[in-house]
Amino acid sequence: MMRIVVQGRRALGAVVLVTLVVLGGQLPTAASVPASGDAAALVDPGLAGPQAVDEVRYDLGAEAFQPDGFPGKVELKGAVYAPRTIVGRAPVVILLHGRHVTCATDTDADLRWPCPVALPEVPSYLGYGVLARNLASHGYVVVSIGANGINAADGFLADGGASARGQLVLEHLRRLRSWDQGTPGSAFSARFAGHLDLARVGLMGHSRGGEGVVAAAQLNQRIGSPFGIDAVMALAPVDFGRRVLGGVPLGVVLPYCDGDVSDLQGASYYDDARYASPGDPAPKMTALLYGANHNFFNSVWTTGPGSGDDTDFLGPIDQEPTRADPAPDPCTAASPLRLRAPVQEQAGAALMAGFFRRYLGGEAALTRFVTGTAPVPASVGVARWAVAHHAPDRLDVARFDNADHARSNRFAQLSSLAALPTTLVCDASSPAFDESPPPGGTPATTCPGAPLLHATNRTGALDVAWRGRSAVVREPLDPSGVDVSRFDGLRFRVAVTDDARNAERDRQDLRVVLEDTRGRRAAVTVGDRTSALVRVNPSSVRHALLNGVRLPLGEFRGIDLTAVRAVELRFDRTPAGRASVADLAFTREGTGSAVGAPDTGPLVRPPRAGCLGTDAQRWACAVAQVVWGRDPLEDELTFLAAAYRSPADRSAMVRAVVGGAEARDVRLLAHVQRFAQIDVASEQLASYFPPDGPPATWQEGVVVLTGAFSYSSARVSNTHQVIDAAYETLLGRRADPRALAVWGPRVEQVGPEPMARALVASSTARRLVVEARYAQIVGRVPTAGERDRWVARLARAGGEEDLVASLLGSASFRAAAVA
Amino acid sequence: MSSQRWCRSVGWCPLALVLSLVVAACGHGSAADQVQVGAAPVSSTAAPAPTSTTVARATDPSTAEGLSAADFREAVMAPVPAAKGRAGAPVAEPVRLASGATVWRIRIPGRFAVRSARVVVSVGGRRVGEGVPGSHLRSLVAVTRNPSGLTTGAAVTYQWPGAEPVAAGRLVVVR
Repeated sequence: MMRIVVQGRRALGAVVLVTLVVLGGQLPTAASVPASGDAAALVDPGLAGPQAVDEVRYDLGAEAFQPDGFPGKVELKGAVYAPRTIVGRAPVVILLHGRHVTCATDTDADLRWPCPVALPEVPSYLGYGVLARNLASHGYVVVSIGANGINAADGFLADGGASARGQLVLEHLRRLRSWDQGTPGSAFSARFAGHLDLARVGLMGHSRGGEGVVAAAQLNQRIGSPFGIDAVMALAPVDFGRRVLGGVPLGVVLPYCDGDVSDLQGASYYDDARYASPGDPAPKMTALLYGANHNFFNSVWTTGPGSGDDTDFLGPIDQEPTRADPAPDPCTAASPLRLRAPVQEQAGAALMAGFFRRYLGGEAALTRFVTGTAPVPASVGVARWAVAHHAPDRLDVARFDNADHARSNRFAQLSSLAALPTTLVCDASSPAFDESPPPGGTPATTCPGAPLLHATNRTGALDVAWRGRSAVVREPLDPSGVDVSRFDGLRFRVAVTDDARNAERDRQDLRVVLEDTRGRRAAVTVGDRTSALVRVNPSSVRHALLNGVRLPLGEFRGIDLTAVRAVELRFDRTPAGRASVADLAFTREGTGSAVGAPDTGPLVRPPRAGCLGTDAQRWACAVAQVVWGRDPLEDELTFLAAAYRSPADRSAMVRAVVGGAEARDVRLLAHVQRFAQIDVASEQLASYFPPDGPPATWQEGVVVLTGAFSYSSARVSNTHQVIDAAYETLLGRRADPRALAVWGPRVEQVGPEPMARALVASSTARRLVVEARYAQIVGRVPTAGERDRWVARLARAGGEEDLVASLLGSASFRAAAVA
Repeated sequence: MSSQRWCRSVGWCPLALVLSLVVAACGHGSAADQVQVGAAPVSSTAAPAPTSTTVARATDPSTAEGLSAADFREAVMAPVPAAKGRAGAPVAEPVRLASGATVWRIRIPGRFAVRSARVVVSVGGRRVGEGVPGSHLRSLVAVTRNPSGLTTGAAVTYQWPGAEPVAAGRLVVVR
């Protein structure tokens, strides 16, 4: 029997009661859109549309549906928000709440279903009224469905209930279809017959509901797409199954202060889907919403039984200012950077409504909004976010998601990492390297200081760390030039990780250079046109998330965009820094000259002391960053800084550090990754050393590991590849036919070590090392005399270690470090 | 920072010897009250009626290693024996399922919020399984088929992703 519930009261008969909710005054209306300049041409998706909204509810029973494989029956109930007048068929959006208490009073709560008499149901499905009414006022039929039955038992399932939630969504869509078809006997048929466009469906899921709607879209695809699911939005989602959804526009909203899904694991939906399906026509986007928690998108989860501020789950975060932390944590309830519940709810509604209206409703005026190139709309007040956008129409240059893609780009050209000897492709969020990579995930090398970086994305990215202003990532394109004139932007993603090199300024900066085949170059400074370069707050809650940078191609003036031969990322705007970089591509998004939203608000609080303290501490940190590639830990910092007092102590300490195993391993790991594209944790490196112990020098280590890793991966699976990879890694160029002819037989007869030893000893290899170390440590090119002297010195054992120690002991390094 | 790490960092080990002596001196506790397979289990047949009349198929995978979702649920919902364990301490107890199999249930008393993120329960540093809220959210419950390491006095922790482990006290094994 069908039960209709109106305004929370249960009607036991098949009586249809429809409550009309006219929204005048509840939302800002379109009439309040500022009408000046560019803003007049933009759409504020937080504003209500012109249509009055009706709200009706249905309840087909608490145990009306049995998802396959789920240990219990669940309810079929929903709240429908619809335009009062629907002309033709309206697109449909399903909203699916996540895991929450199912039954509660002020003093008791439980996770059962159906609820016992003494514990009323917590109506989570009624908590998305702001979003639902917004969309309905723009002509959408929005159905927010109940899933408490799944919440009550999903903890027993390996998939966390994702499959059951997916089935539940499709079951509701089937009911909607029957109503649209006017099935006799249904009260809703009279209201919605002929008015529901189930070929245009959007899904939004919150929390575990986020994985649920992804599962629904996948299930729909598997059964032949009976419903036209055209847009999927995951709000603060879990991603237990690392589900990869292609072919459907995908949005993910990530609340920076999420205290429940506090690792922001939902970022993986974007990361995993980027390149999963070649030619995938569907865009993907993430929006990192600053100051937002997990619950306040849902008004039922904000107040009332079983609800509240989930940042309490974060534990005793920095509540009070201290000397080390001069400002309270931005995620504390009292922080001015936290969004109040109504602001968060409205900001979430604007983000999601804009997404659906762009991809389900096809409103081109919202393209800048979903691509992160529109100003923050007025309707969201103080809320701010950062967007990453993966455009389907693009020309990938370099993905940087694994060692292969960092070394050789889309054009089969060798990437050049000038002055970046410790740069690796790494997945800093990987908990342990010896675990198997997640299904569909990218194996990646742990990077120096990985546990402390607070890098949030679970994917490989190029970890760029620099001192001086000479670090360059150069991506050569086709030497004959590539026509990029049909694109309108250059995009990449970047995250400023938690490293002391980033702590001296509120945001990092870099320049992007395009070079054409005539050698003309045009540079564009990223500057403050994105919040992606804002540093991580020194707080308990720290997320260095890969966010988007878009530079309009029109700003690269004076070069021929029909014949571009190289793209460079030049980290020369700041004296030091560390960042993760991914997804460098030319894109066409129809956003013309628009750049990222510059208005990031007051996101950054003062840095912690430590590496920014005394001259001794600054010097100690700079040494550690060069040699270990990371900040020193607290006790390391104390110990290193103690040596600052005299040149002799500094020299001795530098030599001890350079002579340590970690410095050696960092140096050798970089070589292994670039040579063989094998990802090895430093703890595993020793197993590749000879039985008599590690090599005595870095150069000998390079030789030994070149031999050890030859024929060990697809990259170096035959002799030709081994030679080529050795040339690329050690000489910065591919092996020519003569080199292949000379070395081929010898490598096959005696192995690759003699070749590696010869290459390492060559003047070209030594010169490259000298130039890279000068650029890395003292931020300049060596003079001719310095170069010649050190190239000669590198011909002897331990030459590179001596070079590094000498440069670290120099007055110019010390001056730069303490400046 | 471990002494080993410092050794790696600077190439010599000023603290390693001292620390290793300290560690060696700490030793281990007294003989453990190791769980014995075959201890008298709670029978699930006296459990309150499940909240749904439909049970999962035996093949449905659960978050408890080697257990179906139905078995996991049955173990969690089996009645709690009266006056066993110590107030406030986490308890490990055998539960005999309707299938005849015996599993071990670890109950951590306390108030636990319902969250979307998964929580992992560990005993003595070994991951036992994922926890689910118990009745009225007044416990966190994990189930395992493997009793190794379920020892009275073992440290019990639970942990959400991205957070530090939370100490739940010392385990009491009851039979």
